[in-house]
Amino acid sequence: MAGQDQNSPPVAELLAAHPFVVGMEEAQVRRVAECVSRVEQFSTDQVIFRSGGVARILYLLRRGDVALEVPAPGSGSRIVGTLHAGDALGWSWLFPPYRWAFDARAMGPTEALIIEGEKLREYASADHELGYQVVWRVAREMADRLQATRLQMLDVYGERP
Amino acid sequence: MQPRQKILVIDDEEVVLDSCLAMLASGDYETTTATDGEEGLRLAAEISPDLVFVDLKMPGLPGMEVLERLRAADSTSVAIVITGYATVSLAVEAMKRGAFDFLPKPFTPDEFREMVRRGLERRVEVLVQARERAVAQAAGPLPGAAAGPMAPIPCRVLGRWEETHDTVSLALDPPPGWRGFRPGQFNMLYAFGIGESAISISGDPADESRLLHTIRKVGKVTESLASLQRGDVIGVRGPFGTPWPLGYAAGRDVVVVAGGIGLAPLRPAIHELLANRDHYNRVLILIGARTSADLLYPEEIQEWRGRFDVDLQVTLDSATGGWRGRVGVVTTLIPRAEFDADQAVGMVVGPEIMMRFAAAELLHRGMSPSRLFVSMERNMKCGIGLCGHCQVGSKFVCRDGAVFGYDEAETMFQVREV
Ligand SMILES: Cc1cc2nc3c(=O)[nH]c(=O)nc-3n(C[C@H](O)[C@H](O)[C@H](O)COP(=O)(O)OP(=O)(O)OC[C@H]3O[C@@H](n4cnc5c(N)ncnc54)[C@H](O)[C@@H]3O)c2cc1C
Ligand code: FES
Repeated sequence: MAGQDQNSPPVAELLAAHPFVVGMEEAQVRRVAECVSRVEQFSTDQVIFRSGGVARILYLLRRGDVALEVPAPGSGSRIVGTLHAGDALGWSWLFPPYRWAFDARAMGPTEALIIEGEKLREYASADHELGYQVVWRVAREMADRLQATRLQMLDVYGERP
Repeated sequence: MQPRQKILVIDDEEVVLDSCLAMLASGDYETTTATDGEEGLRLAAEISPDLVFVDLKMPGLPGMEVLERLRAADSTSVAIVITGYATVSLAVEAMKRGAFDFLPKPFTPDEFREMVRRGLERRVEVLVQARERAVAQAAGPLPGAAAGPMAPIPCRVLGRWEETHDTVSLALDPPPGWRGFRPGQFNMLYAFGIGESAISISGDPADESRLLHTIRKVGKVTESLASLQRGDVIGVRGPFGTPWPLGYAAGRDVVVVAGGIGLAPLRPAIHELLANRDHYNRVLILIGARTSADLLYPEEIQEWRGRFDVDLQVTLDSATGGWRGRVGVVTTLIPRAEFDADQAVGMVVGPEIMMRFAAAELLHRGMSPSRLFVSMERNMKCGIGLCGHCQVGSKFVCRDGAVFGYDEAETMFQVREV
């Protein structure tokens, strides 16, 4: 694991405890662990990435809350969704043009495992079993988010029976 | 010819069922048996028995819950509990949940027949009382006679405040003789000259000094109720409807899910849960609102959130950068919420579409539909099961609900109002 030999057992352990890899085989988790470059801390209101920026990283949140935002001229920003410990943040690293669609901002002290997206992409295309596991998880996350977004659009609290 | 009286016996032991059948064979009864609670409740809904025997200790749906739900489905039902481990405290608990009497196992044929006689006598009494009430109501209150449940009692507005841009709370002086309410119940509020609406009681059941209602302006009656001022007078009938199953929830995890105005009918239940916090295991309160400006009771939410023994989460559909909480619909809180789905009780209120999705998530977590409760809204007129306005299938929302078990509610969701 790049530059992390001393720390590799803890990082691997941290990864193994994250819901993202639950259900993967041990060997697959080890491959994902090879893509973890570090554990990173973000302070309150620190911007994690900005929309339009190049998307290189999958963030596996261990602690804290993250707001996905769009800048809204005149009124600061609008939060379109929040992510929390146990969630995987960001899938733009998986698909061209590899650009973030939203801003991500830590809402409080936040900690994430940083996974190098490019490396994980390479591993995934070389090993389709691993690729399936990774893409399945991203797809599930996207499906959940899509469902939640649809409900948000339906304005479920305003509707009368 | 008199129709034969119907007896239903619910017990998981075949021998008990067989011996009950044998003991009743000589009488002129129509006897039906069920080997578990679910089947028993289904049969009860189908045949409307005059008398039900319920074994307390059965695999699956517990006898206590069967009792409570028999009662909720038909307030004239008469149930007798049978059990192998009779204790006074169990008997008291069963009575609280609507049992008429208690029969310890093993029992002799004479003891059993005596119970049947007493139970059927009770049933006749209950039916006569119900008919008398209905006749009195249909005739309307006599001048000078005590007002019946169809006559609104004038009540003064003690206070009025805006909760959100379209929602107002009213504090009313309780009507004379008001004997309190149970969380989940509603009143019919009458804006004189305009009309009447069903509105849940939204205050603390322990506060007898005022009666709180939270009203969202959606049409003529609610607009007019919401525009009342301190000192104005409105008509009140109630309390009506079934309560939240707070007794049944004792000792269990309780998951309260409220969307929008749905927090109003749940607030009394939350007060009671917190006032008797040691009766329950984990208490989770999951609240969803459109924006922070649409959130009801923000100060109380803050207070509840400050308690170490409550897990309270608020999520908004949309927020500006300053919001520190979650964004997403309330259903997204359920997959990660910490509760034991095997025993937890769920209480959900919001618009139907929200209740359906919240219920789907709770069931997906493994919560049994028999432990999930929702409060239904239908247009009402009489509020007491006479006019049929609120009828959905075989149920009257005003009398059989508005709090329903989800197994029942789910079929009602499909039925469109006419
Ligand atoms: C058991 C029960 C408890 C309730 N508790 C509350 C409460 O605590 N606070 C509150 O604000 N409201 C509550 N309601 C809903 C309330 O009764 C209705 O909103 C009200 O009767 C509407 O009357 P209106 O004349 O103002 O509107 P209408 O002119 O009758 O209707 C205006 C719009 O609202 C819709 N609507 C009418 N009645 C209902 C209804 N029952 N449910 C949903 N939509 C309806 C109509 O389709 C129409 O689009 C409850 C309803 C029930 C059955
Ligand atoms: S409102 Fe009349 S029967 Fe329910």
